[in-house]
Amino acid sequence: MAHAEPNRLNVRQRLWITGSITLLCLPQVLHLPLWLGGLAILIYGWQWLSAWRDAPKPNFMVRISLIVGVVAIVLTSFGQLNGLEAGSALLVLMLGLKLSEIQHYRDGILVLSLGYFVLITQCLFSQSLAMIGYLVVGCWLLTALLVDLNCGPDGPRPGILLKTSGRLLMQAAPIAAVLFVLFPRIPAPLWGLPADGGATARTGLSDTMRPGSISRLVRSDEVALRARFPKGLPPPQARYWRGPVLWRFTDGAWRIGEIPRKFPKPTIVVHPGNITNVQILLAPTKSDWLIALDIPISSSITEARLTGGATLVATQSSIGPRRYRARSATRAIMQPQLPLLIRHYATALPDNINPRARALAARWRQTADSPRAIIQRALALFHNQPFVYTLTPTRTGQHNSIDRFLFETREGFCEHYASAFTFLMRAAGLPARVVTGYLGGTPSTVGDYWLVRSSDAHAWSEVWLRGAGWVRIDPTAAVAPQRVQTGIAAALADDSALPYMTRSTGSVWYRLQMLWDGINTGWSRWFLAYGPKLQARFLSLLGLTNWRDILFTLTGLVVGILVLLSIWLAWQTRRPAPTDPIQRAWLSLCKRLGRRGFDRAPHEGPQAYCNRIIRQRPDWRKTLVPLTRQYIALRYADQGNTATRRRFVREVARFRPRK
Amino acid sequence: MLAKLRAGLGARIQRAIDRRIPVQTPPFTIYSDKIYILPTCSGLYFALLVLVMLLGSLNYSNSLGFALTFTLVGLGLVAMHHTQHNLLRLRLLAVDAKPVFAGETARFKLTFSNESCVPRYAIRISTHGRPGPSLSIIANAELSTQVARPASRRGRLACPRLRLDTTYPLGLFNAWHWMEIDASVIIYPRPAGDLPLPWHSSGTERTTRAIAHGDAEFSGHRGYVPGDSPRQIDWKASARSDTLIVTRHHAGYEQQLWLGTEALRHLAPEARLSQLARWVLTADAAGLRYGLELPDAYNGKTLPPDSGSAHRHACLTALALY
Repeated sequence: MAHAEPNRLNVRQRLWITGSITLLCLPQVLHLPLWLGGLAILIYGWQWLSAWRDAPKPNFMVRISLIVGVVAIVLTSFGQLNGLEAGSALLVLMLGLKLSEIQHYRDGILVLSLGYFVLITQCLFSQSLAMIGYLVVGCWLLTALLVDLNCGPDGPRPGILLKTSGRLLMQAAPIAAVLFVLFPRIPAPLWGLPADGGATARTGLSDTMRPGSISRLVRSDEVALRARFPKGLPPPQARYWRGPVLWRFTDGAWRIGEIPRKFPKPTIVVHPGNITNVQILLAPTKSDWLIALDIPISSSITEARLTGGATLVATQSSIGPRRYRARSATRAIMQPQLPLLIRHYATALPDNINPRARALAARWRQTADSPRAIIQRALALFHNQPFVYTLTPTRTGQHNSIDRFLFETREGFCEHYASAFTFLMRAAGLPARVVTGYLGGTPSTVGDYWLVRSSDAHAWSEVWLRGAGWVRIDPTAAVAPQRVQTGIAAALADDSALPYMTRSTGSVWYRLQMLWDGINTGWSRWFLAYGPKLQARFLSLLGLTNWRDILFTLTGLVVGILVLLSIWLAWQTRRPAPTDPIQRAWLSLCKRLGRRGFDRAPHEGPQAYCNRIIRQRPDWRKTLVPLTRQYIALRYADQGNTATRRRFVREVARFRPRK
Repeated sequence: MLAKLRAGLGARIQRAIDRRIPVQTPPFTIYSDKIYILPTCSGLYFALLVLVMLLGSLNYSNSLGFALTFTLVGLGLVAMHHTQHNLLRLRLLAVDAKPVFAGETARFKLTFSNESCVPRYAIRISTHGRPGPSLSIIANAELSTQVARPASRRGRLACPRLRLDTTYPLGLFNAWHWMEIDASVIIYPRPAGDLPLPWHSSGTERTTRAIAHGDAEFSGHRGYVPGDSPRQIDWKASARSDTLIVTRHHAGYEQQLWLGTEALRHLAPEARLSQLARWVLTADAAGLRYGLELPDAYNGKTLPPDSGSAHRHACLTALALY
């Protein structure tokens, strides 16, 4: 029984709280820039020391100056206070400072509640399966500490605390599951999203392509998207995935261009038999491009549009994986009529660069009899001359880079070939543009989906021909046809620069990684991507279509679970039955007699009880008296063997006092 | 004006509470209809935090964030039930208190019994708003604790109204229960006064000689019988034999002392009782046989001469309840 300052936390509690908050903030420290990480370690180290010595609060001026100092440091590091990284850095550092003030019960509860908040900020950095481990451990620890604070001075051992905490969380889990499925999801972001796609986004295809851009992407085997083909797999030469289309060539790099961004969507003439649906799960990227199979027509995302270059782009930013169905045409005529403005942009080239390439193209223009012949000449150049397809070509430098590539180094990756080819076509007067995206994919060993990795990134070209619209020409196919047929690992002579998952198949480690990817995909597809659309589909399957039904079901289920919990708790707080069967039999006999109006008083011994009953009901004397005597002998005199004990229990069960 | 309103409202709430608290005799059990539960400050703060987390998850469409937030919502709801069950079916077995003198503090010993399979933690008992002890009882066990109440006047002091609070397990909700127990303790009047024992006021067969301890006429030894005053044991004689030996004094010269109010008429009524209490204590300490005579006018009693702790208690009780 504590009387002196029952609210005060003792050293043990302070140490535990400090320790668990440190543990929870550890992943955040790994995201911080180096000096902030060092500062965090310093602050938390100081808190450990204070807790160990049970130091009092530092005085007001010291605290204020520390807070101001921390805010200033975060502000100078990130330039702002309200981004995701700045906000979570601030949270972690301020929480560290707050740890010096946990003297009393109230402060302890405050700090532990903020600990839950730290958990949720980490979810914004990563939603991988490994985060589940972190969240479970964090929740368990924080809940156990909350229980410890509320157990008073005669609290239980840590093992019991963890058990209680685990039990509370298990009881809360069904409610959480019901809420997760049924709680209405609002589609749009409520106040806004970070412009860079959040911390989980990877850098994918960008709006600019210069020599080396695609090769850089190829060095990573991160999965860019996963696709399911419900209507069958397209042949290898049709597995082109369309990304941003680049129209403008300046300073040795291809960009989209300001005006082409505003081009209206092109007309696509397609036979219905050539349309295929693909289900895509796009890994989060920093851009809003919705990658789809060439040539995309529409997608199931309503806030999306087709650009002038026939690429799908989302108009609403989002963080996290995107899940959508894309309709694509495998064979179509894209833009049968080319407006003059677009032709102008598709043939524009900066002056005074790459004179030799220009001269070559001019020669072709004069000697060839049709645009297709020009294309054939260019492809023949790549095929017949000793061009090399390599990830590590000799650098050409920015000045006249295409001339040097075509006539001197003759080694490059797909971006070099696409860039040079498109330049030649434009120089020959044909409208052409560069298309970036992905080519190919690997099937998953565990699921029915295909993985398209960053290492499948590719660039090719499109030329506009009268009567055929924009036609895809892939100059890489002229140099390294295995790139299209098999994949990049087969096309490169030296594949040591390729990431592991791209160049090896079939080994145990590969299979394990694929298995992990399969699990992650299911995770991503069903849990992470559970949003308004998926919820609407799932709930309509259950027959719940309007909000009233959903809210009724939600409330009903939650109340139902709580009622079950009440019943369970009531059963837990029941009076435990004695383990001795003799005692149990006697108590059930007393209960039975009690139902007939003869409750046994707590102070009444068996003999007195029996006598009292006999006085009023002499007809029970024949059975009750020997039973009582037997009970006294068995329980108090400890006589009797197993047989007599069993006989007693049987006879008690047989005795049924009638009215 | 506001203060008057608040006082009036407070009084009405208090009366409403009083109506709902029945006076109970131990042993009794706490049932759910008498347990009240409300969120604490920490609980409200926690709810605010969970709301912010929910808004954040909605904004970023973060499934793991939703999972965490909903787990915390579930945790809060579950904690509410656990807090209520921490008090439910707690049983008060008995209330015990030793009588004390006015001006001292009476201590009521409460024996609680936890008749369930799970332990109960951190049940705080408070009286009249003053915090008291905190109970934690393991499964299927009993625990006694003490609650103090200052005794200012003589008479019967009722057990104070108790409030049992608990915020176990998470501190988000506070469940409480009011207990009005039908038990009281006798408060003896405070002994005061310097008058000597009134031997002179004893009757004809009462002698006037004051007996100092050890001056009585020796009339023989006898064996010790349980109940004899330990002052009468003759230690020297007992050391020589195997049993305890008591010296017997002459019955004929036995002095009887009657305590009454005749000599105290010059004192105030309460002072008279205080003086009588002092006399009772003195007589009892000396091992004398004394009787008490209180006038009939005020429910007076007459207690024949006797000695021992039971007689002292009877006399002091008579004085207390006079």
